[in-house]
Amino acid sequence: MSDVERISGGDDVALVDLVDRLIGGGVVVGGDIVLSLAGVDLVYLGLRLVLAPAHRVDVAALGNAVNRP
Amino acid sequence: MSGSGDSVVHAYGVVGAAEPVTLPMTGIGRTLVRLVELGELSIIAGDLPASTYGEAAWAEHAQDPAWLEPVARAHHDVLQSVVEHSDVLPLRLPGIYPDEEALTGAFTASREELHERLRFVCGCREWSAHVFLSAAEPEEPAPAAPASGRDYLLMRKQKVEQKGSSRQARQELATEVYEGLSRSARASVVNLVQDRALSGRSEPMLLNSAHLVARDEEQDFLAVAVELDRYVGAAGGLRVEVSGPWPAYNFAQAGDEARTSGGRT
Repeated sequence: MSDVERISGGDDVALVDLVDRLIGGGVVVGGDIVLSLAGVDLVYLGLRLVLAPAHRVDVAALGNAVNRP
Repeated sequence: MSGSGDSVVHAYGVVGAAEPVTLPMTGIGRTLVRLVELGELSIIAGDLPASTYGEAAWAEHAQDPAWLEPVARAHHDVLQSVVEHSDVLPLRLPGIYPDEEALTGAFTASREELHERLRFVCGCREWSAHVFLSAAEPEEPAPAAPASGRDYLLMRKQKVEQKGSSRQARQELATEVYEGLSRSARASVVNLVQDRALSGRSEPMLLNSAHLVARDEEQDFLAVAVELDRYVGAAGGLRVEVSGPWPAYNFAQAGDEARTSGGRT
């Protein structure tokens, strides 16, 4: 039995893992708008905290919908 | 559409122009995805309505998960579908430009660096590793009633020390996982662990790392992960979880891999 999961993308991907990558990672190619939105990085830590509970609620709701007999 | 003000150009990522790339039809907000050629590089891009995805929209909604989630997922889905078959350098969000001229201008200025970075991730994809403590802290046997106040303090002190040393032992095991996985990877970085509210898990996270792995070495990497999972499970009740393959988000920017040496500079 293996505890290693292979996730191929799509909705299996936790939003927090995505945000960590999409706002915390990736290459930055400066343009006027990108630079003016650099402050987005500053709110990123706050956003990380907001995201998880919201996402958990969604998952629970989805689970209930799927499991309903 | 250039400069009309009704639309902005969103950039998803960068691919080599020489490499054949199959793009998904649509991206953010079901808008068309296309390639903008720039010499040896091609930019995966799309035109988005400025009113919904322009600078003002980003400034207003960037902290709103309900707005951000579909944008992030669509951006990721485009890159994920490309990385299945081709090398791609993922762009950080927000990746919007007023028009195509601004886009090509910005990318032309960074062309050398982008090219070098694309070469760095060439033939590789990103894998993520999380190490969790798999069980709650073991129950401690009920202590014998201390005979005196001094005995009580001594007992407390031992307990605190035991707890500290088992925590340190677990952290060392998590470090062994990181080092073991790093040996099977081209490059590796350590990220901030996600706290419980964020991971949605009741168990504490001890390691959050990303590894750049060659496509033809992915099976070896996974085999090592399975082995490490067994080892740290038996030795310290830890659990290794691996996800991937991801576009190389953690290795797209020059200097990203330097984060690895955080503690050893």
